[in-house]
Amino acid sequence: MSDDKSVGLGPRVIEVEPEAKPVPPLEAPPRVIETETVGPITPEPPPERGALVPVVPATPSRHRLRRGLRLALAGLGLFVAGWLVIDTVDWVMTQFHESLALGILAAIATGVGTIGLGYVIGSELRSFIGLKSVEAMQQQLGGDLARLPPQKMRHEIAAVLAVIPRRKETEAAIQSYQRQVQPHHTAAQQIELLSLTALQPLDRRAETFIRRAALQAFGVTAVSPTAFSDSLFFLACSLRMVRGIAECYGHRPGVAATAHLLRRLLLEAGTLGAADLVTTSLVQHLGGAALEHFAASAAETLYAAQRMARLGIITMGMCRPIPFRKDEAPGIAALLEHLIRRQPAP
Amino acid sequence: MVKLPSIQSLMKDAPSQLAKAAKAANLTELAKGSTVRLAVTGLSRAGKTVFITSLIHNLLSAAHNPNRMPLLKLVGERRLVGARLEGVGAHTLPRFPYQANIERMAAPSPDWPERTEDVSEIELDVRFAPTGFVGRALGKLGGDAATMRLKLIDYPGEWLLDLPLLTQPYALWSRNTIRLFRKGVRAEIARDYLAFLETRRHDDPASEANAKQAHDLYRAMLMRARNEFGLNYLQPGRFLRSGGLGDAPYFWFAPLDLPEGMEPKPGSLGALMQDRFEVYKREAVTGFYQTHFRNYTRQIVLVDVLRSLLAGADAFEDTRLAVQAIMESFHYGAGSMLSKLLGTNGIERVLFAATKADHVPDMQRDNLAELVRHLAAIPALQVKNARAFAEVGALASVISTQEGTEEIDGRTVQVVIGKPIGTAKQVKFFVGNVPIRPPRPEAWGTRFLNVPVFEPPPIDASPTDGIPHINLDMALQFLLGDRLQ
Repeated sequence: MSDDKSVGLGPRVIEVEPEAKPVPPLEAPPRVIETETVGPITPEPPPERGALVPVVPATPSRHRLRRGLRLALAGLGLFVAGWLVIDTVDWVMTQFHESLALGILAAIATGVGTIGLGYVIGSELRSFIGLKSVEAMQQQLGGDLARLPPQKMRHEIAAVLAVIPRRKETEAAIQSYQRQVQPHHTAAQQIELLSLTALQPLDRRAETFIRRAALQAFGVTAVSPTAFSDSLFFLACSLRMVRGIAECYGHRPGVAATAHLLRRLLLEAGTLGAADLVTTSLVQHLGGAALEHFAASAAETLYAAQRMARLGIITMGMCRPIPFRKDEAPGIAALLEHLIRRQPAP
Repeated sequence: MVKLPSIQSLMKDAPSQLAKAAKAANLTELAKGSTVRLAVTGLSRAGKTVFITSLIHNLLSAAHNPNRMPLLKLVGERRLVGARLEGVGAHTLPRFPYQANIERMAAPSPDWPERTEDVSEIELDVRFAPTGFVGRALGKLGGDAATMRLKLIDYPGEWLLDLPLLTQPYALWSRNTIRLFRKGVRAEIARDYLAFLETRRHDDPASEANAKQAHDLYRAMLMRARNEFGLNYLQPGRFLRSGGLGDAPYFWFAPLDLPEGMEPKPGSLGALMQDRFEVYKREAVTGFYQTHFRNYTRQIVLVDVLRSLLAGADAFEDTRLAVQAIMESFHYGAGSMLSKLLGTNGIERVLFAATKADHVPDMQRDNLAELVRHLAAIPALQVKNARAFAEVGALASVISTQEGTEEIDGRTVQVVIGKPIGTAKQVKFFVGNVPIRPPRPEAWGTRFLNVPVFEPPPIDASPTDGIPHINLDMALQFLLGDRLQ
């Protein structure tokens, strides 16, 4: 221990200056204030039948890349674009040197190609950004709704309504929502109403896609000769179902958006798959080889349908602008129950 | 807690219950056990009558205009086939004056229903498409939609506070009452009565004149406590509203100043009071409880917490005590199948609702519900322990205000705008800050007793459009939703 007493820190009491007081809440007592307005009070009525649906731009995605990475990607993009432009111009000029006709042809081909490429890129970007903005909405609306002021929720829901695809049944459902929602409804109540009205036709339509895909998986697995053809068909069915469900909720599933959806689907399904693996192992250990063999041969086709239905429900959850509330997601049993019934084509 | 019915009475009731079940219109109704008795409980002026009226009118209207009740899933999911009032029958009680209440509210000069003076009942049949597998299968078998019969009883809120008397002997009740009236604002109200007790002891000889005088003084004191100070925990309730019993001689009793551990001696004033107290319990309370409150399975406790809050600390504490006392009078917890069949099951779901939520701006409405949560904390805990579901919310059976703003002390604040009954001009009502928990003792402001009574909004007397409300559909979903699946 050091002999230097000035270095050691002894116990002490330090007085702290009180922080500046926050602005106190209004302490005015209750009172009745007379007005000059006469006439009865009419609580705010719901919008009239056929009122216009408010169209508010979708909330921009909060998911942003880091600034450095964005700059790097932009630089890389500029480099590639510049390289392509210079190369193309160089190629067109070369053709002009060869002959005027070839040059004009090359210029026209380049112009048309550029327009086509621009359209494809634009379409891909639009669908990808649309999907990302829905994911942002989900994150925002999936949190603690009790703390969200009703006014803010009204704005958020207007943004959701703006991205919902317009069909006859959805128009009617949106108008039904607008007639039912009242100024006093809390954020959670507004979400509940939206689920009960505007999202109902979308959910039903998506469920139809799931049932159809499950039915196909059921049938093909039953007649498929090899495991490889099984898998191939299952993959094709899944892809078609994912795109169909995405379309139900108003997405334009381009390559980028579909890839993004599949990536998330794999992650979600992977989590579920791990849980299933444990269950299957337990069955194997507890039931023995005979039971395993019987289960594998008899229930394989049903299992494929159940798998497909489960993937479909996960996809619904990803594409739906409002996350499913507790006990709201369709059950696999209920979906499979309808397999034998005739469903209207979506 | 009130005693459970005896085995003999259960056995006596069993054949009639079984016969009733056998008379069920179809298999679906039988399977779903579809009569629900909803206990609408609440202190005086809590809004029971308006709640029942609005509930009936909105359910009757829901088939025509589902937009009024979207959060009642039966309506939101478009499964409601229709609702209708049960026809006139040979009932033991007068019919609840639904039609008269609606016509009064829909009149050119609208007014609220008259104060409830006596007990009345009404039954409503709700026909719907069931969703569950069993319900649908039995529905197909029975060839019809399912029906839930909703039974409702209206009565003066004051009578509820008679129920706790059933478990108390006179001496205990007397001591507790006098002790309570020696505290806070009650001591000021009870000054005359306490002075009277100085001159009339419990061991004085029994005297009709003294008993009547004590009764009159005590009754006047209760009236003043209710009307001028907004208090609720006032017993016996029939002293404030006697109903059809009038002023029978057995009413002429009052609490006396009985020392701890002492019982009234035979032939004394205390003994006379004790005898009358017991007759009162037998004649006025037991029958009421056995007939109307024994078989309820759902309960809504309406609390005008805003009025209690504005009336000051004493009134708020008084409301808390009253709610607690009422809750102790009911039996909670789901019963077995057998007990359901015999009609002896307890209350399975209870909702504590802060009424008149339309008197508070939108932003503070949740605070009102939180305040009720604090107020009902102990009773709700008891309910949960008894395996019954308890929930808290804020509701307005009828919206009679609009949202607005006002400049007060240089700040723009939220107010509600309404038109007080009997006036031409609208007024703005600024309620102040509604706290989420009872204020600390030093934080109570001055009492504000002039909460305006606003005119009902224009409504249609025919059951087609419904009545604007706040969270009535949510309340019904919680209370009845599981029986409407």
